[in-house]
Amino acid sequence: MSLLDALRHRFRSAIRPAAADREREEEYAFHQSLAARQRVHEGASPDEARFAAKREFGNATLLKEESRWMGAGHWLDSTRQDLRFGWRALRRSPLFTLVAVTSLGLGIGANAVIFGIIHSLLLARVPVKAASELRLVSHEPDGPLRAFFSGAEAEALQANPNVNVAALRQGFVPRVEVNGATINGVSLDVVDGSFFRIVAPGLAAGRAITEEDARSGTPVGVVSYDFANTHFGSARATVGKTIKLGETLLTIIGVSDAGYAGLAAGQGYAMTVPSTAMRLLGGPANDQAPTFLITRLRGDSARVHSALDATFAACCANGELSDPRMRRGEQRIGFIDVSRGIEEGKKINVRAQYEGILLALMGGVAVLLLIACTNVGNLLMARATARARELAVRLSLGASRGRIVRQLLVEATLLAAIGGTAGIMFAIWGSAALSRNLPAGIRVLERVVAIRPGLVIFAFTAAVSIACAIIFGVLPALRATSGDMITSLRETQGGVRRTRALDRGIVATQVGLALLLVSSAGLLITTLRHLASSIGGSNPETLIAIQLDARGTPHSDTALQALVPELTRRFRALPGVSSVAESYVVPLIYGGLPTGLLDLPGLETSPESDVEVANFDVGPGYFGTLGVRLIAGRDFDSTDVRGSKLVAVISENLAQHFFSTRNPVGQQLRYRGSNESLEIIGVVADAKQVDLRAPAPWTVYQARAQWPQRWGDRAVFAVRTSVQPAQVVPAARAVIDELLPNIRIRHLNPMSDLLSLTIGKERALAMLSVAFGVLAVILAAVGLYGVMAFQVSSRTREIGVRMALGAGRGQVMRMVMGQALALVGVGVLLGVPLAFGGARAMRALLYGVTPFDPFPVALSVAVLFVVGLVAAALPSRNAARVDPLVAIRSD
Amino acid sequence: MTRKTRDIVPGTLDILVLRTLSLGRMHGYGIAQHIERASDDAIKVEKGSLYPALERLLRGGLVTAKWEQSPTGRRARYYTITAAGRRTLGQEVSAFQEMVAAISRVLMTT
Repeated sequence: MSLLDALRHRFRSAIRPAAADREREEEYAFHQSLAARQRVHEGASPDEARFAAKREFGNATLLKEESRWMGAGHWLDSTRQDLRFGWRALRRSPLFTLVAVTSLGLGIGANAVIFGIIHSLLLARVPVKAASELRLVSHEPDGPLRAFFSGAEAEALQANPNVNVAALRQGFVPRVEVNGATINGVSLDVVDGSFFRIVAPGLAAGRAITEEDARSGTPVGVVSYDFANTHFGSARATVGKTIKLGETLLTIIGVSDAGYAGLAAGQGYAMTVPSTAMRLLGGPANDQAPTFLITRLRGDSARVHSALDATFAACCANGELSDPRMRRGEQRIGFIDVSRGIEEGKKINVRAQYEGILLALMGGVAVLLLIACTNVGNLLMARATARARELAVRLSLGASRGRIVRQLLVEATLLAAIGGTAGIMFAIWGSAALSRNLPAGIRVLERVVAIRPGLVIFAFTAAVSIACAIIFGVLPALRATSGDMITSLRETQGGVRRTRALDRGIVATQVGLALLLVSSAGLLITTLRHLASSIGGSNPETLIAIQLDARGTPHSDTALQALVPELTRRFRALPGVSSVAESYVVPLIYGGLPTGLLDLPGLETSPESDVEVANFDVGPGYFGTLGVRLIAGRDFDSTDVRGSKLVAVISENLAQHFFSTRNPVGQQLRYRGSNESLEIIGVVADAKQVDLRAPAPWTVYQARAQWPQRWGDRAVFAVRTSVQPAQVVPAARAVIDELLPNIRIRHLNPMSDLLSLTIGKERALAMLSVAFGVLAVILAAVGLYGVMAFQVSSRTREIGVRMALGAGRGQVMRMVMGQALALVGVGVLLGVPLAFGGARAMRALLYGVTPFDPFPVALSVAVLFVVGLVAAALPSRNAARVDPLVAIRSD
Repeated sequence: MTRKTRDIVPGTLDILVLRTLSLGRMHGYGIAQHIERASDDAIKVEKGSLYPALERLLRGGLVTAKWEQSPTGRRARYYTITAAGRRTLGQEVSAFQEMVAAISRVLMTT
C-alpha cells in the first residue's frame, strides 16, 4: 500500500514535473500565509508579516529544486531533459542525423531480416500451444534412430487409457489437382483422430479433424495457410472446397494457422489428413508404415513413462521392428523433445541446408552493422570535436563530467532508437519484398523470409540497437569530455585539434572489416562460378532441356518412342535452333543416374576396386549440342544402330584412371553380369550431371539406338539455340502438342533456369555477399574520406607553412595520399587475418576454391587501396590548394 | 546557561516529523509549529529542511499526502503517517535513545 503510494508519488513527480512543481508552490504559499497570520496575531502589520514569513521561508525555488532532485524522480527527470536536449541537438544537424539514422536503420534492418529467418527456421518452436511439452515417443532415449513404431505397436500403445498419444505418419501424394491445376509432389501429415486433440495445432478457419472423421474414413483434410492462400485466395474461402487426389475428392474442412508447417511432413507440407482417408487415397496401409507417436509431458513424465513402458513390454517387445536390446529389457521407452518439429534426414531438411548459409549471412550483416556503427561513431566523434567548445563551457559552468557523458550517451541512444525503429520498418518492408522476389532456387524460403513482427524480433532489434549505441556512443562521449577543456576554450573557431590515434584506429578497423566482407564475396563468387561452369557441357544460357513422360497419359511407351525421331526432326527445323540431341538424361533434371559395374578385360578386379560408372544412352550429336568436348576418337553416328557392333564413349577421368598409358580407343569394356562387350570409340571431357559439388562421375555413354528397350516411357532432348531460349520454347511446345497431345511435359526449360534452381542458394548468397562487400567498401570510403578531410582542414596552417617553406603542391598531395594509404595499410594488416579466419569459418560453403586461396584476398586488398586513393583524392586536392599566405594568417 | 534556539541534529528531523504525524494528520506548517512548541522553541525547523524531509518520507512510503480543505478555507496538503512509517518510527526512536544513552555515557565518563 504505502510502497505503491511511494511509487506513485515518485512517478508522478517524474512524469508530470510541472504539476508537481505547482503543488509544491501552493504548499509553500500556504505555509507562508499561515506564518504571516501568526505574526499578525503577535502584533506585526500584515505587510511586515508577509515579508518576514517570506524571508524566513527562504529561497522557495531552491527548495523546489531540492525536492525535485531526489531519488529516481530526479534521475528520470534529468533523463527527460537529456532526451529533449539530445532531440534538439539531432534536429539541429539534419544531414548528420539522416546519414546516421539511414545507415543504422539499414544495418539494423538487415540484421533483423536475417535473424528473423534464422529464428523461424532454426530456433522457432512449432506454432502450437505449449509446444515445449511435445515429445516424440522413442525406443532409445538418446537418439531419434528408432523414434517410430509399427502400426500394430502404435495401436497397442495408444490403447493404454492412462496416456494420451497421437499417431502420425509422413505421407506423400505425387500429384493433386486443385481448381483444375496440377500440383506435383505434395507432402502430408497423416494423423489419427486424436492428433488435433493432443497436439492441437491452431486453425485459421474451419474445424479440426475429429475422432469421428477418422472412424468414418470420409476423405477430409486440413490444409496449410499458405496452400489455402495460394490456391483459394483466403483461408475462409477455402473451407468446403475440394481437392482431387488421384480419383478421390477430398473435402477441405479447415485451414491451419499461418506458420504451421506440419510436424512430420517437412518441406512441401500442404495438408493434414486422417489415416483412414489416406487409405482411400491409395497410400500405404496404416499398419505397414512407420508411425510417429506424439505425446505431451506436463510434469507427469514418470507416470507416462512407466505406463508406456509396461504396455510396450507387454505387447510388442518382440515385434520385428523393436531393438534386440529392447527385447532383452535393456532399453526402455524414451522421449525426444520435438518442440521444434521432427527432424528429418539431413539431406532433404531445409533447416540443415540453409543453416550454414544463414549463419554466414548473419556474420556478414553483423560485420556490416559494426562498420555502420563505427561510421556513426566517427561522425559523432567529429561532432564532439566540433562541439568541444560548447561542452567545455558546460563543464566549466559546473556540469559534472558524468552528466555530460550521460547527455552524449542519451544522444547516442536516441540515435540508435530512431535507427532501430527505422531498421524494423526496413526489415518488415524489405523482407516482404524479398520473399516475393526470391530467386527460383530458394523459393522454399518464401514462408520464412517474410518476418512476422513479433516479440522476439522486437527484442532482438532493441538489443542490437542498444549494443550499437554502446559501440558508437561511449568512445566519443568519453573522448569529448576528457581533460583539456582549457585548450578547447582557448582555441579559436577555425582551429581544431588534430585527429587522434583513435579516429585513425576506427578507420583502419573499418578497412579491415571491409576487407573481410570483400574477400568473402570474392570466395563466394568464385564458388558460384565454379559450380555454374561445372555442369556437363557449356553455355547453359542457350540450351533447352525437354523431358516428356508417357506415364498416365493416353500415349503408350512405344508410340512415344516411335515419335522420337520425328520430334527431333521437328525441333531441329524450328527457327533459332542450331542442334538437337536425344539423351536418356540431360544434366540437372534427373534425380539419379543409371549406374553399372564395369569389368574391364585385362584389369585385375576385386570387390574393393569395383568400378561403378554412370552409364546412359545418348543420340548422335549429343556431345556437340551440350558442348562436351570430344578429346579422342569419334562421336556416335548413324551407323551405330541396333545390330551393329556395340560402342561406347567414355569420360576423360575414366580413361585416365584405367588406361593411363594406353589409348582407350579400341579397347573393350563389359558390364558385370553381361556377356556383351562394348568397344570404346571415343573419349570426352568430364561432365557433371546432378550433384555439382561432387566430382564428375566416371561416365560411359552408349549409343541410344543400340538400347531402345531402356527408354520406355520417357523421351529427353537437349536443344541448342542460336537465340534466346525463351523465343524457342513456345514453338517447341506447339510441336509437342501437335504430335503428342496431352503428353506430360515434365521439363521444357532453358538449362539456365534449371541451373539457377540447382545453385539458387549459392547465387543468392554470392549476390548478397557482393552487396555487403560494396556497402562495406562505401562505408569505409566515407569513413576514410571523413578522417582525411578533417585532418587536412585541421592542418591547414601546417600545410601552409610547409608550402611557404618550399614544399610543392605535388609533395603535399603525396603526403596526404601517403597518410591515407598508410591507414588502408594498417586496415589491411588487421583485415587479412580476419579474411582468412572468415574464409575458414565458411569452408563448408566453398567449392572449387580453398579458404586460403590468396587470390580473393589479394584482389580485395587491391580494391581497398584503390578505394583509399579515391577517398583521399578530394582531401589531398584541397590540401594542395592551400594558399600559404591565407593559411598562415588564418590562425 | 542561556537557552538558545538550536539547529536540529542532522538526520533527526525525519524522526521528529514522523513522531509529530503519529499524533495525527497535519500540514507542513502545523508540523513545524508542533515541533517548535513541543521543544519549547529549542528546536527551530528550517523550512528548507522540512519540505525536502517530507518529500523524502513520501518517496520512502513512510507518509502519504492528500490535498484537503484547511479550517481557513484554503487548500492545504495534509500528511498522514503510514504503517511502515510507524514501524520505522519505533525502530528509530529506540535506536536514537540508545545513541543518546551512549553519548551521555561518553560525556559523563571522566
